[in-house]
Amino acid sequence: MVTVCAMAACAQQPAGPGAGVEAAGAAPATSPPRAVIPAGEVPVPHNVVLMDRPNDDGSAALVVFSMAGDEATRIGAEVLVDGQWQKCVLRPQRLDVLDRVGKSPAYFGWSPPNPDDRILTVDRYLTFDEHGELVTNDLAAGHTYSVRLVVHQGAAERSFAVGDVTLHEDWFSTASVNNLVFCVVFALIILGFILAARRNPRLFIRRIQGLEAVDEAIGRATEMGKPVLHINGLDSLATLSTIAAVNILGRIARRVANYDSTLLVPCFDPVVMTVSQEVVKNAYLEAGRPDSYREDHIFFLTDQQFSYTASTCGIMMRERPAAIFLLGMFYAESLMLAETGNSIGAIQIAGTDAQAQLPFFITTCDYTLIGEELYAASAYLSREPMLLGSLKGQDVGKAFVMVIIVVGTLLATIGLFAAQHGFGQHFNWQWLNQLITPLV
Amino acid sequence: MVFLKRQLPVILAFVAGIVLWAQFYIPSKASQQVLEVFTRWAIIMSGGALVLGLLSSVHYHWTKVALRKPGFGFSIVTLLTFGFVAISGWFPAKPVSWSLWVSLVFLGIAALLCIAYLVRRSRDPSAARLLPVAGLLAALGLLGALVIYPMQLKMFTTQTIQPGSLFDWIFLHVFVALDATMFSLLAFFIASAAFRAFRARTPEATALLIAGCIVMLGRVPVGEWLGKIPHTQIDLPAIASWILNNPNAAAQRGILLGVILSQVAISLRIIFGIERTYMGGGD
Amino acid sequence: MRSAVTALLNVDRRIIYTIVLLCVALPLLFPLKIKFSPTREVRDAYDDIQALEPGSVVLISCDYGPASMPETHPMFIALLHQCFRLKLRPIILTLVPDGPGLALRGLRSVLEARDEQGNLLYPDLKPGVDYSYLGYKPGGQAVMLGIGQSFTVTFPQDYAGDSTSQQPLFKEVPALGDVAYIFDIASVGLPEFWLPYAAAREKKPMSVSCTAVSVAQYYPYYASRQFHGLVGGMKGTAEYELLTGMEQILRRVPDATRGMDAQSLVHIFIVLSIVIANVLFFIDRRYKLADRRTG
Repeated sequence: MVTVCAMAACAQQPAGPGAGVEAAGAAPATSPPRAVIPAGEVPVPHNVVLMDRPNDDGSAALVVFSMAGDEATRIGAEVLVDGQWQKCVLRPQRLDVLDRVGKSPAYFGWSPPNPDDRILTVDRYLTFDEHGELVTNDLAAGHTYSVRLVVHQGAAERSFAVGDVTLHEDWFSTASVNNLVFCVVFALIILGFILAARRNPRLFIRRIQGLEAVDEAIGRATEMGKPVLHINGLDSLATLSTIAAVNILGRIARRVANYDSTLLVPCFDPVVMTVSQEVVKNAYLEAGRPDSYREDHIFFLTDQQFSYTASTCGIMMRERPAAIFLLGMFYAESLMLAETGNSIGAIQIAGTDAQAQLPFFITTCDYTLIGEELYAASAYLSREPMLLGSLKGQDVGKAFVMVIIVVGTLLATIGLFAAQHGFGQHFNWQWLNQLITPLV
Repeated sequence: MVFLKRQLPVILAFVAGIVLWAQFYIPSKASQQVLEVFTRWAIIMSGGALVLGLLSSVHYHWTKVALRKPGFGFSIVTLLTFGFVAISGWFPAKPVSWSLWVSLVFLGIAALLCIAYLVRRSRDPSAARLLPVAGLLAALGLLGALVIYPMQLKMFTTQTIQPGSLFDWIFLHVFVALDATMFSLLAFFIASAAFRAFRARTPEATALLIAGCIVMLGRVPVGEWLGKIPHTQIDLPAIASWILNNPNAAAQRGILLGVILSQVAISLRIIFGIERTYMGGGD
Repeated sequence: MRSAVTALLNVDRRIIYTIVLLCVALPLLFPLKIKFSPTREVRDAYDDIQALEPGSVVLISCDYGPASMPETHPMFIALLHQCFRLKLRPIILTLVPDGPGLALRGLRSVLEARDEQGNLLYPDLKPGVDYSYLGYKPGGQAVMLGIGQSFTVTFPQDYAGDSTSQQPLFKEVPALGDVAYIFDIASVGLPEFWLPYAAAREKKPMSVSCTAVSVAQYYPYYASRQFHGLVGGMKGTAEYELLTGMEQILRRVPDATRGMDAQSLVHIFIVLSIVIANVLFFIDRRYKLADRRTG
């Protein structure tokens, strides 16, 4: 609920030239020209509106006003507490650094009538205790506060009573509605596709070369009598790419178990090691080879980046694996690991969503899973309905984003063209702004 | 037991996920307090994860030493180093305190008594009487060194990790040096990888290597030194900047969007209990 | 000729390593002093800090370790000099375990910096009033959310062990929403978390300084102005040193600037080796094609 009290102490002056909606890519809208304030005078705020800040916990009020000022103009606010006016900030802010109405769509929508008006947030008042120490007191929901603006122009200062405001706590943020809608729709799409995949498991996924080569890599290692090395990345299980890597480890472990080859998994994180051991053990059980499982083949090395890298490179040089899987989150050590693997002649399949490391893997590894292909790998290898359906749902999400990008680009281009040639200003474009503007 | 291992984690993941997801849309005070509690617990658990990593590391190397596995000598070095560096962090930069000197004196006398015992025990059976005295002095010395001294100098606080302390010396002259050295190896790896792998086998590879060369030269002073293209204001840094701001940014955005959607999907699967890999053992 | 081409294509890596070593070492001993000028991305970050009012609080997160020290540590020092010179009040923290030692060293070196006469450059700076060093806290995103609610609850003590709730700085700036700017100096992927969990949530401007290898992935954020400035790698740090006048402050060539010559030579060598390798590759391919034609 918004309680609005609008008070203007002085006669209204015409607002500065409105900027309107900025078309993407256009030159930034011009600010109102700076006023020249005569010495000793203090500029006067106009169209002052005092309101409860929307979509918050009832701890702040907004003072919206228009003012023509210069570099020396500073704005502060005071709140009446126990009959005394208390400052809200120790240092009043420069007028030109205050937020603008036009840049705050969460509060004022996408096409406010006065986008150049300034916003001052009042969320506390300052007092001093008996020792002279500063005490910050937050405003609270359910209370009514009297507020006044204090305008400083150089050494001169003048107060303007703004009015009273009652603060209310909000239980839902209307500014996040589009975010909520997208989340719910996306979740429903994914869950829907999972259900659909359970009924029809033969959903199409395009070929991913790196994953087609998994069997080849493991087969090569078996023929050469050399182990397969799997690295889950250098991050904890809190990282989703590590979860994806461990997922793929299960599929790889099943194939290694089928071929009766050796699988080495040096781990960076002890929790990842524990989970990896469970995953591999289950894979061997499902393949019907529980006796082939070796717990000490999945081991924890260290949780220091370069110590782990040095250790793993040493393992590569000594054990000479024929196939190396580098899946998960990697940092600067990616090139070291991949180059060392390349130097021993191993076939390397890498996959990461660490964009900075992708170029290194692409140049040094035989196959690279880029970004979300790592997440798709598990679905690709297992063909599990749950994973396939989730992948399809993601594709729908991506299609939606692509459509938005194309539509938004077209609209922005039309908008630029319209602004330059002067048509369409009278049309209410607010609904289009809401559609194309990035989600809050 | 099965409930604790299988069902409870799923329930906890679901409740936590839904609560924190809903919290994003509810700006009220109560919602902020819920977030504060979850945030504090997350910080506590992150600290706990550090300790877990520490204990796992110690356990792994201890087991290796105990079972005399191949390479256990390195594990001994690891454990000794770990202990030494950890203990060094207790001592501040300027450990001036009477309790430390007294403790060291006690320990020194205890050590001398022990040596005297070892030397005289074969000739004089009564030398065994030195041992209780040595033990008492050693106990007093350890009490002073490990309890009274730390209390006097605010040990076990960050006061001890200040420039000039032993820990700081180890950090600067060992850890920083080793870490920086390992990272520096990348320069050599990049050079050999570039020579070996940057071949114009396909049009895409050609575009990659041309863009790579332009950005490599444009991002160092020599790119500017090479000057502008004749009759234009364009130099290599400007072209590199255009490549980074346009095709690179576009490609990064594409990858990022795909990755983020995948992460949202995986997160939804974890919250709804469909994805359980994090518990180990598959579904 | 053909054997020479094959030999060069399979040249021992150690030869390449030796040349790289020389390209790095020689310019450090015999500086070339190649001039450079600041780019737009770095200038944007610098100008944003310059535009802050005296007394504004800047949150600096030192999320880097020893491995990336040459690229990021000089940036931290230059930024601190700029902050203290402009009478800004930095709050410094780190979210990586090997960061606090380096951040403390950097802070101390700036606080103890002296001019030619031996006077302190920034006298009378008090911790808890003019700056605060909070040290390391595990948790990453949780810490960002925590300081968004309260600095003093998330960091009850600063690095020296003093209570933050008693410090005047935190009485005036109790939470992240009250700082004027966020600057993340990172060698890990934390900027992508600082943005949604801190800068966008509290609606604060933010700039990033990062390693050269990760700068490419932050250009989308710079292009959309989510990062106001982007200081990438040692070159970006050297540009920032140029803008802040670090050479005059330190009375010597600053660290990142000193590395520019070595970096230039190594880059030239890598580009030349790529060109030569491709020329040899095409020559070798012609030989192979000729062999196939002749059977």
